[in-house]
Amino acid sequence: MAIVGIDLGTTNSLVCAWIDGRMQPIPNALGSFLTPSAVSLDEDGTVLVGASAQERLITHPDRSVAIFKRAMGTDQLFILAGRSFRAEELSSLVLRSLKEDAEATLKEPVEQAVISVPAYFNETQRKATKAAARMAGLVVDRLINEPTAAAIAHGVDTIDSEGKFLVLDLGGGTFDVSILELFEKTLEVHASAGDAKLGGEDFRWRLAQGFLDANGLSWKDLGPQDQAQVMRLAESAKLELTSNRTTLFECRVGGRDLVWPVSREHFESLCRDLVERLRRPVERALSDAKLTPEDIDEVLLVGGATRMPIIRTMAKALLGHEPRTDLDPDLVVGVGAGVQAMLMTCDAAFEDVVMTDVCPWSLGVEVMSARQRGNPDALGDFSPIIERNRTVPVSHSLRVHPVHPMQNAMKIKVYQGESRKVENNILLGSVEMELQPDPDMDANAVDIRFTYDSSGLLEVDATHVRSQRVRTLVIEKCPGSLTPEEIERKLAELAPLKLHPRERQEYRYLLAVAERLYEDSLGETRERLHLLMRSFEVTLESQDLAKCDLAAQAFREALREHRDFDP
Amino acid sequence: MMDWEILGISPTKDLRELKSAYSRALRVNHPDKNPEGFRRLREAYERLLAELSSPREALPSPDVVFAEPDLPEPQSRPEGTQAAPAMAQIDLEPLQEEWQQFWHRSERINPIAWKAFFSRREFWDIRTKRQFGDYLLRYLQAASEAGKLETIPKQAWLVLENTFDWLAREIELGDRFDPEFIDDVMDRIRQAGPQIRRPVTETAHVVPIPVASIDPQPGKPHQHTPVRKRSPRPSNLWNIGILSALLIALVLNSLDRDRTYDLPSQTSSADSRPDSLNGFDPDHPPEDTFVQFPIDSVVPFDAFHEAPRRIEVPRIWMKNWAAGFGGLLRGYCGDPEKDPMECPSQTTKAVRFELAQGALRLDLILGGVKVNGIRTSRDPCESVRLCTVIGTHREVIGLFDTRTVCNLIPARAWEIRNGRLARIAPALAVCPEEPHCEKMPPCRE
Repeated sequence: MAIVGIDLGTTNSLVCAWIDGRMQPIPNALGSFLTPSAVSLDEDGTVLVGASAQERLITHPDRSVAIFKRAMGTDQLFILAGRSFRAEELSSLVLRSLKEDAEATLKEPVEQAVISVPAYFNETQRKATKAAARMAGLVVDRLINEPTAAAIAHGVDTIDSEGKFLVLDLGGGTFDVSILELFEKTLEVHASAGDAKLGGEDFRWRLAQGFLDANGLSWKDLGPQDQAQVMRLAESAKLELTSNRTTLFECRVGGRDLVWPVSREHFESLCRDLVERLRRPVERALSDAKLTPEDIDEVLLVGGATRMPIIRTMAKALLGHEPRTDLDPDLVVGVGAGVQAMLMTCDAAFEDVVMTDVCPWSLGVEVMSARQRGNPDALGDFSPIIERNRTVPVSHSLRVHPVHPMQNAMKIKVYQGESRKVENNILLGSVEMELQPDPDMDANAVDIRFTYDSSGLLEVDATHVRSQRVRTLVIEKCPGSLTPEEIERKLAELAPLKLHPRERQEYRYLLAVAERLYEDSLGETRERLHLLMRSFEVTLESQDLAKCDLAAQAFREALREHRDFDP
Repeated sequence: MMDWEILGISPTKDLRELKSAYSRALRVNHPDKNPEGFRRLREAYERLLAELSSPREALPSPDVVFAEPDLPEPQSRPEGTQAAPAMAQIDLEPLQEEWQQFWHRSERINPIAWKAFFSRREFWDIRTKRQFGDYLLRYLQAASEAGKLETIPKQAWLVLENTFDWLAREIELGDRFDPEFIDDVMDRIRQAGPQIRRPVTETAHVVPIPVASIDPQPGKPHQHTPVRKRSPRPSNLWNIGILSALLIALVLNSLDRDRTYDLPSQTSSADSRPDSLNGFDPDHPPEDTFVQFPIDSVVPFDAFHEAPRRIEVPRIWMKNWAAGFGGLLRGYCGDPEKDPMECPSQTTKAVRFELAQGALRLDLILGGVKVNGIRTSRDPCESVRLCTVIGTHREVIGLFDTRTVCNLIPARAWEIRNGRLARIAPALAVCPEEPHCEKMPPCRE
C-alpha cells in the first residue's frame, strides 16, 4: 500500500509518489502532471475531472464547476445538472481521480495521503479538506502547509544545507508567505502570513476587465459562455505576457471578433494594487519572525503565477534577492507533500529530519467588551491565548475572572483571528463553566489552557482554580463543516457517481475540446468539426481499443490545425 | 538554569551552540511523537533565545498623549511608557516633513493623491515603513482628537491599509496606542474595503458564522464572558478617565459652595431620559468645559457630609476631564493604607489614585469608612460596572452591572449618602443599601 503527496490546488492539482528512489509527480490519464481542479457531470451520469471538465466550463457551464477550493469550509452549494454539491464533495471527486492516477502508475492501492493546504486555511477549511479526503477513500493523518511543502521540495537534495528561506506562493486563489529555517536537519517554520483572497486569478481577472473596458463591454452583460471564453483567453494572454512584451488579446464576444493589443507594462499598471497587496504579507511575516530582508538567504517561488515577471521584480525590490527558480513552481508543493508523506512513514532516507511548523493565526477567547455601550448582545473583546506564528505543538494558558461577583456561569467562547473585536474573528466553539457566586472575584478565577497540536487540533481546558473543576472543549464541529456522520452519508451519496473510465478519459477530453471549438466556430469549420466528432464517436462505440487509439490520434491531429487548440 | 538542563548543555553565549543543542534535543522531543516533551523544550529554548539575542529592533513607544495645543501636557507619564531606546534610526524627517505638507494641502481630500504619496519608493524599505507607520498613527491620533479624521476620504483608508497592514496588527496596535483611537481607525478601514471584485469568487469566502449571543435568558442575568486582567495600557488616558471624572465631579461639586470652581450647571429632573445629553451638543462643547484642577493639593472632602447632592456628567465633559486631569493622578492627599494621619481629620477623606496593571485603583476614606474601587476598563459602561466598591470589611456598597446602567452613561447621577458612595438615577433599581443584589433589572430598551 502506497502513500502519496497531493497538492489540492485552486486551479490545478497534482499527486506525487516515491518511484524508483525519487519523488516524482504522477501523470494523469492525459499524460500531464497537472490536473485542473474542475469537475463536470457528463450527460451519461459519469463524472469528468480535469481538462475535460475545464473544457466543459465553456460548453456546459450548468454542468461544470471550477475554483471551488475557496468555498471549502463554507455552506456554499454548487449546482451541477440540478444536483447540489458542497466544495468538499467536489474536492473529493478531484482527489478520487488523482488517487486512480496514482494507483494506475504505482500498480498498487493508494489509501494514505498527505494533502497540502494554504497556510492560511483555518480550522474549518482544514476539516473540510480532511472530509474531502475521507469521501475520496483516503486516510489523511496530516495536512501540510503549502509553503512548508515547497521548502521541503527545495531541500530534498540539499538536506545538509542551512539557511533561512522565504517562500512566496502565489497560487490560483491564495497567496502565502512563509519564512523557514533549515538548521542541522531541523526545518523550522518561523512565520507564515498570507492573503486568502489574492491569487493568479486576480491578475487574470484584471486582464479580462482590461479587455472588456477597452471594448466598451461589461461583465454583467455577457452570457455565461462568453464570460468563460473571455476568462480562458485572459489566461492565455497572461501566459503570453510572461514570455513576450506584448500580445494580442483576441476574443469572439457576442458574435463580434474583438482584438485588444496589450503590452506587459500596461498589464502591470492594471495590477499595481495587487502587487501592493502582495507586499503586505511579506512584511508581516518578516516582522513576525523578527527578521529583516538581509537575514533571508534564499527566496523560493511557488505557484504558476510566480512566473509573471512583475512578481519576480517585486520580490527583488522588496527582499533584495533574485528568487530561486530551479524547480518548476507548479510542481514543488506536490513534491514537498510527497516528501512529507515519506517522512511520516519514516523512510530511512529522511528519518532524522525534524520539522516544526507554526500556527499562523491567533487563537483566543472572548473577554468582557470595552464597547458594549448599551447593547447587552454585543460581542466582546478578543484576548489571544496563542498568538500567531507560535511553533506548534504549543500550550498556553490565561487566567480570567468573572465579570460580576454574582455570576453563576462563565461562558468561554473560543475564537480565531487577528481583530480586537470578536465579531471580526471566527467563532470556533464555546464551553461553559458553572460558578458559585462569590463576592470575592478571585474565588472564581478560571484558568483557560489552549493546546494546539501539529495536526491542527485545538483543545481548550478550563480549570476552576479553587475547586479544580475542569471543562474541556475539543474543537471539532465548526461552522460550515460536516460532522463525521454527515461525511459518511455524503460518502454513500457520492459512491454511485463514477469517474469516467480512465482509459477513455483522453477520448472524452478530445470530444470536449471539439465541442468547445464547434461552438466557437462558424460555417465550414463548424461542418468539418461536426463530421470529425461524428466519425470519432462511431469508432468509440465499436469498443475496439486499438481502433479507438488510431482514431483518437487522427482526431487530435485534425483538431491541432485549429488555432485555439494546443493539446 | 533549568532551561539549560532541558537543552542538555551548559550555559553558553553562543547562539549557534544553543540552536545546535535544540536541534539535537528535538530528536528525543519530537513534535509529533512527544508533544509534551517538545512543548517543554520549546519553551525553554524560546526563553534562552530571548535571553541570548538582544532585541534587534525595539520599536519606539508612542508618546503618551499627542496633545492638542489647547490641552495641557500631562504632568507625568504612567510607568512603563518611557520611550524605548531608539533602534537603528532611519532618518524619517524628510518623509515626515513631506507628510505634513501633504496633510496641510487641499489635495488631502483626493484619494489619488494619497495613493501617489504612499506609492513612493521609500515605502519599499520595510523598516522605514514600520517606523513611519507608527509616526503616522500618532499623527492621526492627534488629528482624531481635533476631529479631523472625517476629512480623510474613504478610499484613503484603503491606501493606508494597503501600505501599512494595520488590520493584521490590530491587537498589537491596540496595546501600543489609544485603543479607542485604534478601534476608530480599524472601523474606518473595514468600512472602506474590500475593494477587490472577482466574478467567480464573490460569494465564495463568506463564511457563515452563527451569531453568538450573550445568554439573553432573563432568568439568568449574570452569565457573562470572562474578564481578563489586562496588561497595562498606560497610554490610555481615557482608561482612567471616567471614574476619576466622577470623583472629580464629586469633589468639584463639594467645592461648589466655595465658588472655587465653576461647574457646568447641569441639573435635570429625575425622570429625564437617562441617555440624553440634556441638550448638550457633544460636537460643540462650551468653551469653559475644561476645568483646571490643582495638582498635589489636599482636597477637603467634608462636603461629602453635606446633604445629598447630585451631579450629572455629560460624557463629553468626562472626556475633557479625563484628558485634562492626567496630572491629578499623582496628586493625592495621603495614603489611607500607610499614613492615615496625614489627612487632617477623621472626617476628611483621603483619595488616592493608583494606576497599576492597567487598572485604576481608587481608595477613599469616607467618614471613616475605607472603600476602594477598581476600574480596569475604559468603557463608560464598564467603569460603573467595575465600580464595585468594596469596603475594608468586605462590605459591599453596591454592585453595578453593565446591564443595569448601560443606558445611563451619559447622564449618571451620584450622591454621597451617609458617607458612602451611592448612586441615584431614575432607571436604576440597584440597591446600594443591600450588600448582595440577587436580581439585577435588565437594561432599559
